Amino acid sequence: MNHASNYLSLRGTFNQDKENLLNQIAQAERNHGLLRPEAWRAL
Amino acid sequence: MRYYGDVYRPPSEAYSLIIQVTYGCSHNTCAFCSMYKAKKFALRPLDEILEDFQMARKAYGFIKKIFLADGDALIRPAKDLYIILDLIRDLFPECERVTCYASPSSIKIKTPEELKILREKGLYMAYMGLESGSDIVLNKMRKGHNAAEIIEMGRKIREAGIKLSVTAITGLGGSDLLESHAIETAKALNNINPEYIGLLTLMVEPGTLLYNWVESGEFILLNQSQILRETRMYIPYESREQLFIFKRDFQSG
Repeated sequence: MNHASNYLSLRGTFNQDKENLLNQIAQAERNHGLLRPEAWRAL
Repeated sequence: MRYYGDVYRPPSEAYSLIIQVTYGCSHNTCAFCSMYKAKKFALRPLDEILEDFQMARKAYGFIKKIFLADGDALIRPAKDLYIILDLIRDLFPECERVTCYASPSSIKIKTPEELKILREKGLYMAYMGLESGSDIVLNKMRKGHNAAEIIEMGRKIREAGIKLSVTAITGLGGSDLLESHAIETAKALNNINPEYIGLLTLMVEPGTLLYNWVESGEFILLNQSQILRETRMYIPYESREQLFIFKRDFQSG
């Protein structure tokens, strides 16, 4: 079995992707429609 | 291959051969974890493990990655793990990496020399749960270790040349401890400086203490906005070269 999923899929390498990660989070904060629905997170 | 109970593996081991070398988790008291609640911890008999590897060799043509399950496979005595890793080398010369879950306790009972030998025999990486860098959260969640101990053990296994992937859990402080959980966890991750970091998001599973706390109102879960705010707080603290992975795919296996 897998672990539970996150609401938002992000992936990056530090430090190079720091800004990109922050931007993706900011985008999701403005639009929750980008987030994975709760039911899809299940184990 | 024969499997007992639910078997879990990290997302990055989706295509690995998985063989149980322990059943369940040696700690198994964490308030948020339902993974091994149905199993009593046990070391699997060594001859059965070796038989499973023989079976896998007959069943599959090419094995690139092997994951030793269950929770905390590293808790087995070093001499058992040597035998397992030696057999893997003999049977699967094509295998590029062997990995397993590790806990602070299982790293603690190994000497630096034993860890080095495990590395030489093919243990490529271990997955260890930090969960939180906040001692208040760790204590509340019954992790069994404080942050300093987890950091020390993470550094110890890395010093032996074994790569380390560390997970932390967003939302584990609830709304009360959101900020201190995020800040302390980011600090601890920086302190360990592992090759990989996985940020998981707290999910409440029936059968756990946390489930009862949520039901009774004792623990307040974060909403989505708070989860994003907390996630954002981890990032400025990560300052060194390391792959930072938020779990992407959802697959069961």
